[in-house]
Amino acid sequence: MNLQLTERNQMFRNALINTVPIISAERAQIVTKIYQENEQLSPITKAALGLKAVLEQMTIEIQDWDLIVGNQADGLRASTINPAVNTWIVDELDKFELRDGSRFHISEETKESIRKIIPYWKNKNVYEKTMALLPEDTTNAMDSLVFTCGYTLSKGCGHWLVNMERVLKEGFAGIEAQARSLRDTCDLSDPDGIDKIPFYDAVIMVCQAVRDFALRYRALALEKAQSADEQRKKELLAIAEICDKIPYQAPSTYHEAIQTVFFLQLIPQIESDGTGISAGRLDMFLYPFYKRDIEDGRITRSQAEELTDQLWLKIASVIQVWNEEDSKSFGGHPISQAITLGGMDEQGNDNTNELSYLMLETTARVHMAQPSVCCRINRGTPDDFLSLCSEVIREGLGMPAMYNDEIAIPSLVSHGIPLDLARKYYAVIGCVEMGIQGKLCAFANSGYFNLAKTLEIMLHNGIDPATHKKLVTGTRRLEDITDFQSFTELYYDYMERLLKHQVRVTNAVDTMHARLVPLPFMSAITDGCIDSGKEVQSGGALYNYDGIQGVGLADVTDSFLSVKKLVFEEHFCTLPEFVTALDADYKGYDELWIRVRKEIVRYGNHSAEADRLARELVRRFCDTVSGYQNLRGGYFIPGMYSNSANVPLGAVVGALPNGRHAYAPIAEACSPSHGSEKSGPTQAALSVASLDHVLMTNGSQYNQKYHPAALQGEKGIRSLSQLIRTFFLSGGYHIQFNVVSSETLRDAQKHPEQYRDLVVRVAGYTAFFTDLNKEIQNDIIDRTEMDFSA
Amino acid sequence: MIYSIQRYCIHDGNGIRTTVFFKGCQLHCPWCANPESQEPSVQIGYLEHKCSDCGKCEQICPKHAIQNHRIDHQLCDCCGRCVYYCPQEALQIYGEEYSVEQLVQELLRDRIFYEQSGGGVTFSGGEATFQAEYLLKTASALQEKGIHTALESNGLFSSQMCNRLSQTIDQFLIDLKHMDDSHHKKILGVSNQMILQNLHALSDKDLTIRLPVIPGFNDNEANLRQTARFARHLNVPLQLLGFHNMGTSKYHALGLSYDYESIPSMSISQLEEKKEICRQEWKCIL
Repeated sequence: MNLQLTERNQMFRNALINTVPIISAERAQIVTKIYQENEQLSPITKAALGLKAVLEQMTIEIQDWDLIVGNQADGLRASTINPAVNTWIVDELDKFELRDGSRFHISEETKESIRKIIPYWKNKNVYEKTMALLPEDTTNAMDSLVFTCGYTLSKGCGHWLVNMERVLKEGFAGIEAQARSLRDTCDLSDPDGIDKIPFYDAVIMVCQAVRDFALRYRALALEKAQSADEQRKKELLAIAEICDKIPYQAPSTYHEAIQTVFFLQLIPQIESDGTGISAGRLDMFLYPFYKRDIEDGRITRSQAEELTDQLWLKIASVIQVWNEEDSKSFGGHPISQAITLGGMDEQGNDNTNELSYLMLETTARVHMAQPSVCCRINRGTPDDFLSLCSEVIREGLGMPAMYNDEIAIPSLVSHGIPLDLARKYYAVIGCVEMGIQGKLCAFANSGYFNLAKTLEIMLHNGIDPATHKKLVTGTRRLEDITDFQSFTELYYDYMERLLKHQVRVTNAVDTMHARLVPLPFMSAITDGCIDSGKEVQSGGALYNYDGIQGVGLADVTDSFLSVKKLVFEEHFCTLPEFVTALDADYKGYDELWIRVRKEIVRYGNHSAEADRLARELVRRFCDTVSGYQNLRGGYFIPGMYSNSANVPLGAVVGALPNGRHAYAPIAEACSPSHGSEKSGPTQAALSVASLDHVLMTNGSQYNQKYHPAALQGEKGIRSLSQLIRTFFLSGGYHIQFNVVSSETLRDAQKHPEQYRDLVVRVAGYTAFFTDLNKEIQNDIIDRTEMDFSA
Repeated sequence: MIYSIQRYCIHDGNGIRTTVFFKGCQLHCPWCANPESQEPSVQIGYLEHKCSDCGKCEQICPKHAIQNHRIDHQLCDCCGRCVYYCPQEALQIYGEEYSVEQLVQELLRDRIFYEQSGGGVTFSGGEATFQAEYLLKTASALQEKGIHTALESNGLFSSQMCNRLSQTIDQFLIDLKHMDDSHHKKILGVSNQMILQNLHALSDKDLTIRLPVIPGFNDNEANLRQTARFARHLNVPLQLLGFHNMGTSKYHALGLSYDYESIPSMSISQLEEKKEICRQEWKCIL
């Protein structure tokens, strides 16, 4: 594996690593002006005019190292903001530079501009409009962190699997032509025309704006060419030629196709500030271009490598800002731009190709936290491919994350996706969510549901001990529970009642996104929208999901085991006595605490009882979530992942019956709680695999951490590949690895300046370790490190 | 008597393996990295860095054997109460009795990994042949289930035992610590003759000779070459294992002194040098 970047890409990478991200007000300023001047127009028209104006007026740059062009805002790493969703930024302007993690620079001038535009958005942004709709019991539950909807309440929908296939085939000219012909059939005499006419007009306007955006880069390249040396002049003229053609016309070369992909990846992030914009199956879609160029001698493999490396770096340059609170749940700038490699075709044949390998090598060579590279593994995946995945994993990047086709495909089919589409278009959205590329509108992160908080509230008969508010009424009382089954049933009763609040918020917030911040660009490229004449967040897409994630699976499972044994089997204490000990955080209850810690065979050791209870918890959670339909005619789908939300969600939960002390982080995703994996990585993996992952269509996540010594040599690579295969064969969906020693991480805490490019896997995404706040850093260090090489 | 079962072991035998560490050994090699493996009986260790000084162990010890964190091993009968009650897991018990059935059950838990990777179970120690009948029963029970077995051993067993082992064990990884018998006797107190005979007898099996490279004892060029030539003579691979001092904390935990505490662990490059010497004679792996 060649790990050496070309000189230009090395310069690019150094610049990215050494640039502190900034906040840019440019986009928000341009959009605000358009909205102020066009109040009377329909929302979709305003949105299209806003995007058009941004693409026309925003600062564009071509750097000396660029072979591919496109920038998100005025700076190498500059985040846009979107006050139409939430105006939180105005309250945090002076706090960005003081942050413990996820820090940004912001100039006084930018602060001033933001202060000027925010008043326009007061009372008309998604957050405020949503909150105004919510009943008090729902806001109480949200305040208690029974769940968070932090993502959708503060950022654009995001989580798109961009329709690369269509634009690579037809260009925006093809999309525009289709929109025009359907526009011509509309008339205001048909009631549908009222919405459809402005929709089609918006799509047409956006197609042209995208063409003109590329033409601006053409002009800039020609201008720069005038003063460039011979070599660079040639490159700039090539850029100009490419931008003259694509993305309006379909590309024909690999270079043109790569540039098209980057525009498609970039523009959704300019249109809205949503994250999780995912490029999907690039190896599959780009392969025909690569193959043709190689066969015709238009490109060499090393030229293709340089272009691909640069695409990765370009994607890495995109950054987004989160508010301070949410940056704890999403630590370290997780933009979650996922790329999915490997997988199968519509007939179920593995279609890993030469680009799959090339792109894996690119991932190792570029060695950045973005893009987030995911690999689809199935029975037909070549061993060589899996082996290269393991080699890249060993580089310590936390990537690629591994995904099991044999789980994902039936899971998608169970939520209404035809088999052939599931096989061909399944790709990972953002962190671990399953999606259908180019055909889906998924509010994939509709928030985290706090399974541990739910247990705490149940143990206090409906009252949150932190806020003293009564959140649940009308259930059985704890004192009346005399057997274990009634105990778990009471828990599920609480779960159903509390989860309903999260569905309410999700419905309200989705409605406001659709009404207030329509997305004409995403509507133009997502299958179904043009045919139906509907905006993508209003039900235009072919498929529609909302994803709710459970957090705290291991804590609740272990707590169940503990209560079962100590209260109902051995009568060591009564339930109310147990709760009294929890309220004291076990202080003065040494005997109980010791018994809990020493006698419970926890989830993560492949013990039949723990695994059965965990599986049941997953099933009940999934059934509850899947029981709701969303307002776009699609489904709510369950997931079991946490990103870094297990830290803030744990910080509001008192001591639990599993012996976890008050306010400590809860277990992340499907992983066992810290220190529970007494039987080593194989048994922990089998516990996780024993859950019913097919039910978790919004993705389940499992992290393992290895000491580099455990993966040494050929044998280390082979064994890791075999571990992955075995985990998948046993029913697991996703597994990812942090290969870095805790000594290294501790040293990086002490000397962050020496570890600027240390990348770790946080959860469903990777981040620079030094961008994380101290608590999340500690949480990562604490995750059990597997080192069985001694 | 077992003191540890480790899963996902990948450097001791084929595929993904579970290694079961038997307690008790005839030898007391001064560099031994696993001091808790030497005594055949249960022991209790104290890990100072984990201790929060709560004094719980002193209070609950029925024999009053703990004072100021020092376990009086004369008084202690290893009942394990202090280990159970230690909130910090600063006290550890080394050694647990398993019946053959229980042990086999434990080892079968990773069966799917053995099957997928061509792995299996490795018997290690201590010295597994120190509990020979127990070892043979466990190995044949696994053999019946089709599980591949490997033995890491010091090679000190009778030729009759060697014969029985060769019928139930699939793979042998046997130490050869010194070719020169006088050195062998001097440091280890036993002759290497029995080991050499057993290596001969097992040479038509899946056998690897292992040389733990100990600075100042067996790492001189002459011994490296001689060992490699012996492996060549038997036509079996030679593997070098570098000395490391990571066992130091366990000596401290047991209140023992460690002669090799201040000897630095061997680096990969040092070990590569030794390998190069051996490779001039015969194939050699790390």
